[in-house]
Amino acid sequence: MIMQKDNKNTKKINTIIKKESLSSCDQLEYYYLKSDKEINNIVVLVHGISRNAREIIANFSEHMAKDTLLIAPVFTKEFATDYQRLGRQNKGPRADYILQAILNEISSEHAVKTNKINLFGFSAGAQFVHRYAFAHPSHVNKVAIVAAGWYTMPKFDEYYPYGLKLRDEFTDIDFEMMRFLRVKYRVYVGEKDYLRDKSLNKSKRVDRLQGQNRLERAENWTNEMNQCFKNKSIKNRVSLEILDNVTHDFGLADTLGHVCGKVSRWFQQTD
Amino acid sequence: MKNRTQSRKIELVKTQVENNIQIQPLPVELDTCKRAFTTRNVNLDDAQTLVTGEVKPKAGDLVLCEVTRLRQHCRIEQPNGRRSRMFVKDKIVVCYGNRYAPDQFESIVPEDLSACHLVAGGGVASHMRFKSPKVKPATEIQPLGLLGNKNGVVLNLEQYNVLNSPQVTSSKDIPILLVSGSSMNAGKTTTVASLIRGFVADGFNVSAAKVTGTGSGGDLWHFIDAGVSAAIDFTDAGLVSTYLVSNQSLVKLFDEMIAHLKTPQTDVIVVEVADGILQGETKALLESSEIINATTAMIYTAGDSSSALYGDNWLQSLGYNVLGISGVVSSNPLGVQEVEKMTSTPIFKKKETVAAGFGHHLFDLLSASSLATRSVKK
Repeated sequence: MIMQKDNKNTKKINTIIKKESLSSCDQLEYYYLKSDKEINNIVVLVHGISRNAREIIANFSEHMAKDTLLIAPVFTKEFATDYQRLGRQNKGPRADYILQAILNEISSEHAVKTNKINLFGFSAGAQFVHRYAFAHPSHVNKVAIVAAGWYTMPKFDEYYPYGLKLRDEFTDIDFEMMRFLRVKYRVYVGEKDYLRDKSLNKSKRVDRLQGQNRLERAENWTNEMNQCFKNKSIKNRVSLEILDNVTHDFGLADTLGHVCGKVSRWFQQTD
Repeated sequence: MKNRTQSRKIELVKTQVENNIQIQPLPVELDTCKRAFTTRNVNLDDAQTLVTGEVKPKAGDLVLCEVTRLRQHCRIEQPNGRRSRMFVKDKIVVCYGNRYAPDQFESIVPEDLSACHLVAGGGVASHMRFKSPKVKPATEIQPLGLLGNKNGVVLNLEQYNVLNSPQVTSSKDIPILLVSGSSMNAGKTTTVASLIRGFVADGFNVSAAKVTGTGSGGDLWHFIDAGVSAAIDFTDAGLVSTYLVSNQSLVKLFDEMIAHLKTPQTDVIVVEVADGILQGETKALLESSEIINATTAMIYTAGDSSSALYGDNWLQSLGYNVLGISGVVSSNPLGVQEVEKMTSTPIFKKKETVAAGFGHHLFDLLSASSLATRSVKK
């Protein structure tokens, strides 16, 4: 039944989801979906290492409000080698630059303001989106972090990407806690996402600092962030939602955990 | 077809990785950045990529920078001349270049894209080596990457030489009046502007050029405000500055600029040579036989009487017809007396140069000089 529904929707969406190459760099592609209505909500959807950008945007399209523009960049393995960590110096191009270039192109071609965005990321994409929000908080409204393998902890005594202490990874990023704590974050993780599978970062350092699996790491990051809000007296809170019966699988996170619908509704709220 | 495209992409990425150079999309729309005067002839639509990594910049390369600490220069001159205030984190579009300015900084193009300085408000990124005690240290900037075209070829000012366009050259013998000086701030630009004003008020069509210096609009705007028909500088020929440029290239630059300005409408061309006559590039340029032969006459500006006499003697010894001494020394009555006792070269005070009839007088002197030069050549 579910498969039938998916096929039907995919067929319908095929006619409206567009795929473009970035005009300044044909190695970079992105999908987008836009209605003819006035756009008030820019949603950027970031894939994990399976690069299933098309699937994510298709699933989100089912919940898309008319004033929403969906954008799903494709960070290829060959080009954006370090995209989860924003593309550190000498580790491939800057992934945040790639997203900004896509936003600029869409902004100029469709006369849409893209200076404030909502971010959704699954797995490696979830790593990207929270780091992007830390680096560029003034351009981000809400961030949905789904099943991140591990996190950048909001600590200045740990080196990036584990924490916020920078060496020479970036020339133009300063992490400013008082700014990135103003962004709204929600964390989602599958109830059964506890396997130490081959794509999980199993370094001793991450295990020690963040936990043994995605579930533990999501809880630890959420607690750490909430402690920061408290310490800085900022009225904000990261909520963690456990998706029943869900493993580390985007399809299941949506079909069983209804994550695309939940995130879409949250992004549409004007809180 | 798809496979071939894919393999080309992979090859391109591989080459970049091997050279440790990344060609990536621009993270900002350049029209939201503060663009410097030096880049005014560049079509920024050509800038499609950011070239980063282990790339060695060259003078004239366009670079996107972030302001990290405001020091001497708190404003950046835009192509239209507006001096826009800068803030930390502002993104600016400038050019790499060398600078020699005894009253400010001596600086060179750095070896890599590491943090450097904004050494001129006109928009020059450089590594400051020396600074004058009169000024604060240079404003600090962080290059984010060189601006490249779609294929990652770095944009350089030399690709935007607007003097390349063919002009309708005049067949008439247009006098070329050179203005040089004893040092920076000797009054060269003020003198040039006054001479222009005098000529224009007397009905002449004047064109002006600044042949050497560091990219900045101040002098050009001054010439334009004085009433020139055309004003150009070395940035129009694709150079961000002339420090450390070979003499051969500077002579070629001079010829190109003169050719550009020699239009049928032009009656006289005034050319300012920046810095003092002892500065390396300026000295070599003035000693060049091509420049001596091409110049009709010279007006020399000096900061004080002794430098006035030294420069007057030196320039005459090279074969220049020095029509007058002007600049800062001409505004000091005692300095004027000292000079007048030691040389027959007249002093041109600012007030005199803009007075009615001075343009005609000077034009007659230039015509006579021109005739004399032609007789000698015959």
